[in-house]
Amino acid sequence: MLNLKQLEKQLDDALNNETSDSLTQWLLTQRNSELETVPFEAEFVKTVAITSNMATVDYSYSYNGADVYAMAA
Amino acid sequence: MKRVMYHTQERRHVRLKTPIICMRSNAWLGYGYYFWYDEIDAIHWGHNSKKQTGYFEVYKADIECDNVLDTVFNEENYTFWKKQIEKAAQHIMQKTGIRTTLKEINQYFQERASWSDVADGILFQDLPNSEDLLVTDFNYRKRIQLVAYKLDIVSNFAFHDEWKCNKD
Repeated sequence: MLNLKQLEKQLDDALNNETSDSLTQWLLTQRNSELETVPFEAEFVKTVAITSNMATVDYSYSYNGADVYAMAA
Repeated sequence: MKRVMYHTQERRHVRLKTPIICMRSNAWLGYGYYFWYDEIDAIHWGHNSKKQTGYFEVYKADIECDNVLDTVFNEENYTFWKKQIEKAAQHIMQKTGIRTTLKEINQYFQERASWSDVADGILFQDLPNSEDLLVTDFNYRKRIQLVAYKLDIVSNFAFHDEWKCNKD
């Protein structure tokens, strides 16, 4: 039988150990890795936005008719 | 408890001996081996998402589900799952100001909380928008998918059937 208490403990421990920086970095790594695996047939649209404290580059692309979105800092 | 489930892939030169791990960025439940509960959903998936070679194959396997987080048929597992998603998503939003995606929240459970060390997989459902439904405007059938984190819960993996993809 699945140990739900253990799953919850592991999630709580992980969340409690996170800082804003560690979580942001993890999310950006996830989104950057998506960009790196974009197939070459994909059609890109790139926009650049400057926010108060950082520049972000937004890429949207379509592949096989599916719209995909990703962001990189 | 074992369930018979279905795995869809493009037709290749050689038949598969094991399922292929899914690394798609939009995979519902993060990285893993994906199986459909209903054969009809495996076939729909082939027509819609496995079109590269013009043909797709459906494989059949027995999945040992005793240590799978069953959010479809087990009420305790479902309420647990919903609570963990909402807790984690709220925490991430508060810390980063970023709303996580479906794939990210599931990947977080797998990578950062190491859920794959404890659970063998997750059974999840949404609703199909499918022509096989026999009642108008009524999604009475669940579209159920399993992600297996480990191959050792998969047995008797075997070719089942193949189809030519529908033209767009």
